[in-house]
Amino acid sequence: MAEEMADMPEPERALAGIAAGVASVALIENGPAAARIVLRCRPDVASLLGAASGLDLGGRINTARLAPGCAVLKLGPDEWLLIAEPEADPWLGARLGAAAGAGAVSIVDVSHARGSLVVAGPSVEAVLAAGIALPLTIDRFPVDRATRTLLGKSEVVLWRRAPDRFHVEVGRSFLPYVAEFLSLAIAHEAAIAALPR
Amino acid sequence: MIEDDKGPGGNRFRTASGGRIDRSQPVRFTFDGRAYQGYAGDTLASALLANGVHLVGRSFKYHRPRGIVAAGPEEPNALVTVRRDWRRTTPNLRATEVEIHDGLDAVSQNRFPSLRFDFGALNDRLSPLFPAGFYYKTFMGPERFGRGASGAWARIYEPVIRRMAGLGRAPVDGDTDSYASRHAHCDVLVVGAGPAGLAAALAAAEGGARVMLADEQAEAGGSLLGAPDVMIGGEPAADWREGALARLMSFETVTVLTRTTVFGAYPDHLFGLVERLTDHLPDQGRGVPRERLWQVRARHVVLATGALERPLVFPGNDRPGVMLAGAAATYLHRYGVLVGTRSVVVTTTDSGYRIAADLAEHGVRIEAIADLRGRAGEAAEAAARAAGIPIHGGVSVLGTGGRLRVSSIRLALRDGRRERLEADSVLMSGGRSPTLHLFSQLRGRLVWDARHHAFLAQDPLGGVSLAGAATGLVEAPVDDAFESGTAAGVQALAALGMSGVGTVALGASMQSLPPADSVVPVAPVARHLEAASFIDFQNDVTAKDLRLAAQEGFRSIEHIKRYTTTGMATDQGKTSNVNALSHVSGVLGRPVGDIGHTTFRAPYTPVTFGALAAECRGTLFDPVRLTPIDPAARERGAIFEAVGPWQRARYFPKPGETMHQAVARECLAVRTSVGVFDASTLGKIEVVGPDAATFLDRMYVNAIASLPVGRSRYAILLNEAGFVIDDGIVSRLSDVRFHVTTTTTGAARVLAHMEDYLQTEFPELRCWLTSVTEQWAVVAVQGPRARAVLAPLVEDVDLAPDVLVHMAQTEGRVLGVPARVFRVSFTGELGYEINVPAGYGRAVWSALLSAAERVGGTAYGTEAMHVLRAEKGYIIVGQDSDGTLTPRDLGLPVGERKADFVGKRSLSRSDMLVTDRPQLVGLETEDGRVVLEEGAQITRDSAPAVGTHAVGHVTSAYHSAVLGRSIALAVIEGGRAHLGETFHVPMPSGVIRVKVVSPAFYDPKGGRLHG
Repeated sequence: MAEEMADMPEPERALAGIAAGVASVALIENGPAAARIVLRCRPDVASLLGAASGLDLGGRINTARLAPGCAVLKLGPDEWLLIAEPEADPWLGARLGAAAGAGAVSIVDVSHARGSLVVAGPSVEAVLAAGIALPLTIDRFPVDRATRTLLGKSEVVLWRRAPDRFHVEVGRSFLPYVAEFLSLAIAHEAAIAALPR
Repeated sequence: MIEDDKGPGGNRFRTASGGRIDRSQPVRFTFDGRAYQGYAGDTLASALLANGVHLVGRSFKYHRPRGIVAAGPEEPNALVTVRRDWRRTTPNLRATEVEIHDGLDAVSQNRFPSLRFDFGALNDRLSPLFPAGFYYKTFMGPERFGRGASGAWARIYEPVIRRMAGLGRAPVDGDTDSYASRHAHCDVLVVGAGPAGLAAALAAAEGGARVMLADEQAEAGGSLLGAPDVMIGGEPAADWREGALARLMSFETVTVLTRTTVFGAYPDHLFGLVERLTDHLPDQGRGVPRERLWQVRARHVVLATGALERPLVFPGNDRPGVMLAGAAATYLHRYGVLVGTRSVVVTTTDSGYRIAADLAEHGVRIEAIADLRGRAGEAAEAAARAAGIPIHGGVSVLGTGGRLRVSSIRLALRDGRRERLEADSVLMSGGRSPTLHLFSQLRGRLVWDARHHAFLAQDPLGGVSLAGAATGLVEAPVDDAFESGTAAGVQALAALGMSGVGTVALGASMQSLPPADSVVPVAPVARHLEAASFIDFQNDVTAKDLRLAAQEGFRSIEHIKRYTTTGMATDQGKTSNVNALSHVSGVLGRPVGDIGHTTFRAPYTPVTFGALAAECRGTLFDPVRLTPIDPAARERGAIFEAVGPWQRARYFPKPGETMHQAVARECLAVRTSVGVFDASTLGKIEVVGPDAATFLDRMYVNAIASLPVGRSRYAILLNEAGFVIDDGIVSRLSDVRFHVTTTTTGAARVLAHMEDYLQTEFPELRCWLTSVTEQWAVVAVQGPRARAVLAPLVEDVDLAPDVLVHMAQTEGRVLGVPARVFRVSFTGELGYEINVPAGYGRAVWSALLSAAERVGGTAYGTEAMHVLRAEKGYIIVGQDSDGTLTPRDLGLPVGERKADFVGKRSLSRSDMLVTDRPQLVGLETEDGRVVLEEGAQITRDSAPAVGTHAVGHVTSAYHSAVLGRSIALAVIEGGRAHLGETFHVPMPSGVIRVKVVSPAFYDPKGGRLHG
């Protein structure tokens, strides 16, 4: 029966191609397609799980660690957001599941629940600061700092990838709002920079 | 010639040289339609004064002619409306802060038909009829107009009074400007860029601190801008200012914000700033934000906010041309403007003498210094005498003359003689009050200081330093301000654990406060002259009003303020509060310090709504959430409705169909064939962990622990009080994994509720909650043909009725997409809810709909969903329940066999067991064509007496196509005991008779579910 069925449709991105911004301020584009897993367990289990799965679950809260094909964002004492290449989805879940065994672990696939934007440019801190209350200067929010916060009226996970580049994880239905908010913030920043001083 | 060149005023009062204006850049603007010329660097106030215009407004209550009093944000009188275009007009701007630009179009306010001739001035003649508390005493009736919102006050008096006692008119149309916002963090926020603020910012920046320096004026410098001859540390002030600014700008860690008002201080050292970006530009440009709201979190704040000069209270002190002496000096030195040619200086300070001598030196004829004190300081007096100015000590002012501009002043001299002096300007020097609004907002205590006749900051406040005139150094040399600023900067560094570069001696001059006799309390006004002696210019409050309030028994300054409205205008009494206190102190015979001051509240000066809203307007007002299926539903012509933050398809009309027709068709399709519905907005939580079953068992009324893998259960969530707050379907995917749904609007609340219990009540349970609302798109396929539609599209799912039974669930593939397939029904028909990863939602919905249409099915929306579930008596939490109903009230299971769950204890309270609690029932109107109104009240009698309480209300009401009549759900006290009885629904068009029935209108035995 399966052979007669139509091919599985292509998944739709949370936000159709966006590329906006002003180069002298910041540019916004869609983040890469990704598989995502929310991993929850207590710290003692985490160290066992990390050893068994080969993922580094240690480190400080609100930091990101890169493993081959997968980033591990530690968002709380018992919470990790794993962002992986899309093909990694099945093996990542399986690897973690196997490592978890019957242990007290929660592994939940949220690949489709979120989308992401990449915001980059010389004034990226100012643009994000239009909607984010946290200090974003490089000394207070260094590369690979990652945290859950509010951008305007939307929850986001903010992850600094480089001094002038941020990855913004957003709930699927909030993505258009966040993209529009940041586009406006970039336009404002560009207009203000062009004002006579 | 002059008229042609420079407009009607001709800049006759402009000095030949001096000031910070750019005389090479003339600027043309209009005021009340007349064209004038000023120069770049002028404010509207300075440019009008340069053209001899003092009359700029009419007063609030009495419509008295009013002129410019001040040169800064404290201006009480000169409020104007600036018009950019017909949509962009801003009322109530202080002319002293409006920077002119080519084409500026400003108009005066609160006058009809014109500023020079105003009908409202009749109020002034009638002023004896408008005592303090006039409104409270007068506008009480008549009762026949009713009371409260419908009474005479709201309907007649208030609209008229508001028109008469108006400020500018708010624009009617939407604001077309845009506004930006920015969060920022710094080590030290310095408020005020005068000499003290600049010094503090420099000291902090040199020590490595991240510094923000904000000043409300167009350029940094504060008092230095109007003091060309002053020296700082042996250097001319202007040069020092330039150097200090250049040095500050050279730090990457320093941000200097001009045209930026720090308007409020909030908890945890959060400060609200508004930066005016384009109001001063002739061409604002499209899309350029007009203002930017800054929310600054500062570890330390230095308040270098200066001091505000006080007027003096005497009869006729509100006439145009009567103004602050310090303002006159500012207009001269900063703007090159003489406020008059013949002036009398009325003073209680030595600085009044210095200003008089200064003005005299620049060509103003000072007719006299009228000192309300006994004597002045020797140096001040000597300087004035050297300038040849007549000095009268110990005088009192009897009044001023002139109609639209002061022309004379009458004095009672110490020896009893009276003297009348011709003058086109009267300058008041009443001492200065440190600007401590932010200090007070930060919960700093103010204490009355008799030497300064002002409130000073009392205790040191953590994270706050004061500098300059704000500390009370109001008459001190500028070097002292500089030193105190440096000291504040060093203090800030020390508080932050940073050390300054080099050492700065804490200014010894901090101690050298001005001599005690330099300021004396306000001289009392003769009783019979109090009615013409104004204290609050903007709200038209006189000395007599305050005396009356005190005589009528008001003692607290907060009460007197509200009764007389003193200090309640848009300027919040910047020029009037201390004078009001002094006067009340005199009337009550109590020291000012005992009376205290009124509360300082944000904002320091008015802030536009646009700045506060910033980006959050239009489509960015609130995120609007769309499901993955949304575009497909739009293509199908769906009409949408807002459900919480979501947009949901309400119905899918065919061409020519009304909503009623479309909904009837959709409902019948589900009952007879099949319907396809987007249920993606349902909240979804994945609960995973070895203790997940235990946790959910404790949270829900229903038994979850015993739920087998592969089965689902309808479950009700209560709060601690035992009231229903949500419902949903709990499905067990494996021993340790549950898929839980919530209502659409309850999703976030339920997750927070559960997380709260998990973390605080049951921390020992090993399970975790993850929101998967957005992970899954949900397509409901409902109706007798649902199985037939689904079968060809699924893999690895056995849809056989005895395998995937009602309330069972399995995982498989739909259209090749991995799916969770639930056999559940919110319609009472055979039904499935297909969950697929959101990215596949649209494709799966479209495929299922196409399959459904081939067998006569259709898409249906939320309206049909509401009708279908009401036909079955299924509740919607929040519509049929209101947070005060128990499961028993709603006819739902109450978990009697379970040991415990959240809310169980409350269900056994005696009040929860009484028989006349509201209960959910069905209603049938006698006439089946009549659809009741949701929310309508229900009574026993057809014509209840007035005051009879309603026994219930209608919660849901629809036309049911399948039943061919209307149906309704309602809650009625003890309703289930009244099945079959007739009740009444009184409506404006008449009473509707209804019969109480079971809420399950259709297929009450539920046989169709198991088809």
